[in-house]
Amino acid sequence: MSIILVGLNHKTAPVEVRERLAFNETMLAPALRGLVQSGNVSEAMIVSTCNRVEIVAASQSEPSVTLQQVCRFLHEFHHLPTFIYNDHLYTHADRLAVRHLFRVASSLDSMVLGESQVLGQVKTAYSKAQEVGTVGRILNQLLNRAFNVAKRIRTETEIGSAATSVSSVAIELTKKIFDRLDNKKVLLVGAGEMTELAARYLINEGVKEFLICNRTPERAMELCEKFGGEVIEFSQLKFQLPRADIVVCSTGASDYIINATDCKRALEIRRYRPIFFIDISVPRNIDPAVGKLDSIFLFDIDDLESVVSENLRQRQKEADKAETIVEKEVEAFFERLDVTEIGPTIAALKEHLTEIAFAEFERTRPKLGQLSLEQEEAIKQHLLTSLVNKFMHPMIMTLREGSRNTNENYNIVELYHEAYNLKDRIANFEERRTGKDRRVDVK
Amino acid sequence: MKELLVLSLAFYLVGLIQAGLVFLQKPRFPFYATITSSLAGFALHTVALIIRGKQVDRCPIALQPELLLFLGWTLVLYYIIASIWNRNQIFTNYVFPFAFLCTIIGVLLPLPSIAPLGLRVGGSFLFPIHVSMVMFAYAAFFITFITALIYIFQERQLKLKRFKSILGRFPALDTCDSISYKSTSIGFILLTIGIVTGIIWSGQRYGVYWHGDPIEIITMLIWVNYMFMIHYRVTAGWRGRRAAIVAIVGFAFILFSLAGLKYLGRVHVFVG
Repeated sequence: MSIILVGLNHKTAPVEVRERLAFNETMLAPALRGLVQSGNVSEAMIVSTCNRVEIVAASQSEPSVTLQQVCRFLHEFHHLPTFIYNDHLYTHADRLAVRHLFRVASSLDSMVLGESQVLGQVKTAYSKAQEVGTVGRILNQLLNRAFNVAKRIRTETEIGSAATSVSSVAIELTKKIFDRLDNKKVLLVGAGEMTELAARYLINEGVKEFLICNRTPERAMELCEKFGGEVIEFSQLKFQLPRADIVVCSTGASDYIINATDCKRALEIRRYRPIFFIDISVPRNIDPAVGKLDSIFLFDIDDLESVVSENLRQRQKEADKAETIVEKEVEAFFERLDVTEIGPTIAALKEHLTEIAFAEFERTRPKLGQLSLEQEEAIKQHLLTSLVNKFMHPMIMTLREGSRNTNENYNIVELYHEAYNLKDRIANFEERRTGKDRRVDVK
Repeated sequence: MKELLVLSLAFYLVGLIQAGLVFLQKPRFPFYATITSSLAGFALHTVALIIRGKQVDRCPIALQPELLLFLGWTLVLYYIIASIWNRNQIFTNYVFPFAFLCTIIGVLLPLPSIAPLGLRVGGSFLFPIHVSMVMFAYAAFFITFITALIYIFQERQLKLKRFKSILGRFPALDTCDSISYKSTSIGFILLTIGIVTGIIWSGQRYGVYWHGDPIEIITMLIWVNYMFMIHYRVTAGWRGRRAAIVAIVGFAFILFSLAGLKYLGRVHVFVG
């Protein structure tokens, strides 16, 4: 049995390569089917986003064989000469593959460390594969584990907590001043891309009213149509200032367009209700002296960016903690995987051996003469059981070892099944287990 | 009675730790855990106050430790009501340490079991109204004071652009401001009622409306201070930092009247 992962991401490949290997919505289903039909890949899943393409597959053969198969599939599916992408591709097997997937799902491998989108993307990819029916026992376990790991990292570390873009930092600061934004008026000075982006963020936070002021009113009108609101003539800017609770300023002006005197007047008219200024223009458009006034909070692009870089540093620190969690979880995953796979075999074997031991004891029982109840108990509970356990120990070890390195010609689990005739017993277990489940369900 | 109070303090510990968790931005206790334990503590606290009233056979809000116990009780009451009202308001959590502090000081101070001279005040219903109104008002001003502290600290950090220390930890500035305004207004009304009932009670009992003792004078100063605060907010838009400073000054007067006046000679009409 092996789990492998083939992929490329924003770190290993430029966008020209990533886009050629990407699987879009319509290609996914045929690709997944193609994967499981090629050779002996038994389970497969594809995560394809703008930053990465990852193919996760499980099979019963050697990892190297599976890797080759998946690479060949990639080549055939996309009809691309391998030299285009070979240098950018990474291939992982078993532990490394699982580790990589855990890191991707927990956003440790993302461009912006700790972002939350990628988990959703992995989830979508997984449900797509479920839909097509290309995931089975191993990938189900693997993905569920991966989602758990991502959740655990999100709650146990602060990797996703701090804002990492200028706009989201600006929003966070706004919320330090205003509890709610849905009843606040926003004045956009300048109608460029930056103010538009800021406006989108603010709408997301519930802002409904905009005042838009631009040197050329046409562009302001355009924004106005998009977001609703009111266009203000540039010459009227300082008279309209008192109406705004939040001012976002980004123009190409080379000088201050809002000064302290205007703001003082505005504050008096507003009865000192606070105003929040964000100046994202370079050179700055709002006189820094404005920020010294009571009830006015002014932040420029440097202030916001310093928060962003501080937060990113913080995330990097948290990432180290997350990596430790990933390492532990990889171990835990393999331990559980082994156990679930050989679990029924071990149980059946134990039952078989115990039955033999007890039967032999009963056969010899008459020859043993008078035995007290305690003595009989001691023989059954301690002597026989621990003998069985001792006998089983090396068997379990070889089973565990063998189940990790199976190949087509030699399967130790099968060997045990045949040697001890365990097949019926295991089937019997399975029946009992599902029977029990059914009863629980009825309850 | 002390045992009951100690037990209620033990229940209050949960709320106290919760406040710490909020401040340190750690995962918090679930809502029902803090609310149940504070309710349990509050119930014990109430019973203790009633027992005290029975013991001394008068309204149990007259001596300094009693006043503190009552103030703590009121703040916990505020905490319970406010946190049921709005579970997500993180401000409420910051009230708890102060409630705890008042209660624990009230427990630690020696509590004379016999009422001092002139305290056999039974008879008129005005006395308990007078004291409890003033204490409710002080609790409201306590809340104003807490919002003022948070406001000033946050505003300072924002102006200095030290964002890390405040993000996610405190309520927004305008939340502080609006809680402050509400609690000040309520406190002011209660204080007015408290003063008026006190004056009437004094007139009924002693035939004198105004004794000119330190407590009376300082209470009038407190009243003027908060009137000033509300007046300037309405007329001149004093809010935010300025209002916060006035609130802190007012609260300093309150602390002085609760704690410091013992040392100024004749204290208040019935004690003297």
